[in-house]
Amino acid sequence: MEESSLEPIDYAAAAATFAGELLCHQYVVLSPTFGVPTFYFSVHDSSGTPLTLTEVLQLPLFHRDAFEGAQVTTFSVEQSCASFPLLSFGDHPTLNVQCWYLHPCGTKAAVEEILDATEEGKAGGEQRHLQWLRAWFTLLSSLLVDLRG
Amino acid sequence: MSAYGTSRHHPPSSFATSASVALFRRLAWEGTVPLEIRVDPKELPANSDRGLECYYIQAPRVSYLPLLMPELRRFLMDVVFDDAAARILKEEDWWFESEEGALLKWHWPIGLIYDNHAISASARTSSAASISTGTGTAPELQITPLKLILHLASPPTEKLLLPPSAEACKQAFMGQLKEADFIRWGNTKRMTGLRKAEQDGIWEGIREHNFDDYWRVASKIVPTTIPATRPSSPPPSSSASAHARPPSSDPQNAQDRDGAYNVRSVPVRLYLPDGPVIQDLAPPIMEDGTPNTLTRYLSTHLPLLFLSQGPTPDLAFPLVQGIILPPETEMAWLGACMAGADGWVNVCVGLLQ
Repeated sequence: MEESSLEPIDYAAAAATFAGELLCHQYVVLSPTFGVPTFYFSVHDSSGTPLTLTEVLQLPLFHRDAFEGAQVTTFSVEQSCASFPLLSFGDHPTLNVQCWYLHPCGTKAAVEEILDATEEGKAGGEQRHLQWLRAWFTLLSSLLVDLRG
Repeated sequence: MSAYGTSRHHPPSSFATSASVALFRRLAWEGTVPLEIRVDPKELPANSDRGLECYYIQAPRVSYLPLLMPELRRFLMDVVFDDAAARILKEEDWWFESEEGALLKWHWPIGLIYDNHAISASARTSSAASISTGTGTAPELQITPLKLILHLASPPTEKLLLPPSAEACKQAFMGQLKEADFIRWGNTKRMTGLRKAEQDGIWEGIREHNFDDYWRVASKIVPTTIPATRPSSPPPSSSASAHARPPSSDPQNAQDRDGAYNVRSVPVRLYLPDGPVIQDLAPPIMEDGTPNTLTRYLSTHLPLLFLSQGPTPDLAFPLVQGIILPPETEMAWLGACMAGADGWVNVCVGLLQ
């Protein structure tokens, strides 16, 4: 039986190993189960081969401390205290492709915390949706280096 | 079931007993599908015994392709490959393809892969699957082996993010269980309330295909159907007394809260032939107090296929666990009795010719 291996993320062995360009598909999709926006992505090298999760985490895609203290396997990034993995693989809700995704179950609480802390966050109606999304992207940018790539 | 007298103003759910719930759960668990797994002839090593490279298995619907890999490996080593070739077998390069060339989703339960394939076949105009409607009768399906091709090398990496593995499968399974929990209650307390040994135990129940091991844990998270409280006329005592609870007891009210009819939504997904997976809320009880039924759910989401009322018959049929269910089947009952082991009711919609 395959065993999960505890690997610290090795930033020294970083993207220099990839000759040529890497293609990163990023999607923001509504999770049908959790009803919140969810970040899905995949990264492929120039031959179309997807990077392994370890390779993905070595890229300057995520902040260095995004997954501090987390356990990395070939298929997930987990924290022992959390009930869901932080990052996992799954079916994209509409595109019939497999992607990595950041687990959305803690999103709602975190976004509401951000909203409660600002004046604009207390808006109602349509403005509320806009502020909600803004707060969501703020949250995402605490994990991702630069969403504009 | 026939002893419940003539009164028809009770919804059928009043008569769901713990015995019938257990029966249907057992039937769903024991469901199997025939698979014919053939190694790609181009990948058979030079000295292998050709002509024997097909493996037939009646696979449990609730199991997963990666869980069959050890058995496949033993077969290949014993029957097909010589020692030299067997030594270099690398399971991490294995992948599965259907006869039609479609990459198989190894993280889906085998039963879902089979039913999904059946409905794709129903949509092909020159389909070999014979589905006849007759006049007003349910379509009949032929159960033929699902022919899979096992490749031993060169996974199509542009489509396959991750090669099949039992560990990754376990995580996919646990993830689906948690999502189902969330769909039902708006939180995952029941899943997270399980001890680690129980979480591991439920997956072991899948791996070992052991009904009791699986349900020992699953009974803590999967709701069951409870007889509705009907103070005016309790069920007839003759055959129900062994199972019915007294209508006014407090434990029943507590159980009602956690019952299948009290979830906020039944975890259900709709699969279209070669098409998208539709996931939407499926409340157990409608606003008018009547139970949500399969026909209602289908005609809401696929109104052009399931016409519900009127003279025109439906253009499609729903498969759940490989069975065409009666349209009046209640969604809550499905969630309690005929969900997959990962907690989800998978409704595969096939087209009638």
